[in-house]
Amino acid sequence: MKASKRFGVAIAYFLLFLAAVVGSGVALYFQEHGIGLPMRKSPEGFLEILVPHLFAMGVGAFVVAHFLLFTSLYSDRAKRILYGVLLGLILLDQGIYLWMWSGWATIGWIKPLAVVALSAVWAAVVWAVAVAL
Amino acid sequence: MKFLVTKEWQRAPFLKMLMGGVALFLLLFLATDVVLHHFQTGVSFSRTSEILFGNEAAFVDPVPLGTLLLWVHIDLFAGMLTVLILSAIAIRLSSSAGKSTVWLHLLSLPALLAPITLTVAYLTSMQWMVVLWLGCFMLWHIMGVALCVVILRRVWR
Repeated sequence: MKASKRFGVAIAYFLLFLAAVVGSGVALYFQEHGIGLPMRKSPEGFLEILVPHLFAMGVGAFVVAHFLLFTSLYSDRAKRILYGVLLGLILLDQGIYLWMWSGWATIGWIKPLAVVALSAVWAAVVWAVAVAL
Repeated sequence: MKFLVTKEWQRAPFLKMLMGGVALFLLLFLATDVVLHHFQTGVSFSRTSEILFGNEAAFVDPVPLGTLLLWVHIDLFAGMLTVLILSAIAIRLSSSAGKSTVWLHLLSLPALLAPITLTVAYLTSMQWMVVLWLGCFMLWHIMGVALCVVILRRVWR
């Protein structure tokens, strides 16, 4: 099998992994907080979630989206919109913790919607790369 | 940057060093990950069963679902990056024609299935799922270590 085909197999596994990571993250969130207002946490508690997610989601978004560089199936504008929306939702999803930390607890009601919306965009990016394979 | 065009990684000493370095650290990660799991989830049937399902005789409660999901979430992320990096390097180092993908499946599939089978074992209390988890966990770690050794041998030859 050619190297390019084997890279395709490796990317396919990566996409399955990413879907499983997002799925387990959603399960973990709703198992802990339910569908209502997220539980208040100490500053350390917020940071323990925020810091690894800023690293992991930023790197994950870059790695999965960079595969779109190798396809001409989508326009450059569509790729930029998809990646931009993904980054924006990551910032919203994680930034909510900072707003709650600052005392604006009501913003927490957006969190479950942000989790669902972000998961849907992750799925869309995974789907876009899978189709391009 | 010449190697990007020529694909001759043998003539790019810094690229060889980069690949060797990441393989070395992934080797260390895989070895210590087994030790971590020995304390966390257990890497034997009896210990993992006790951690997942509890043991009334020894007054051991099952691990909380939230804790298990956190372990699984972290394992999936670490596995994802490890498998992607190792397979990308190994594919680049191997010659382009006539190579099988069996090793790639033997590395990736158990790495993906291990956290999933652990969750299913916890949720369904099926003992054989624990055996499946142990098999998947050990297989992908052994394959990962073997791949790291192969990469290190090739870049330092």
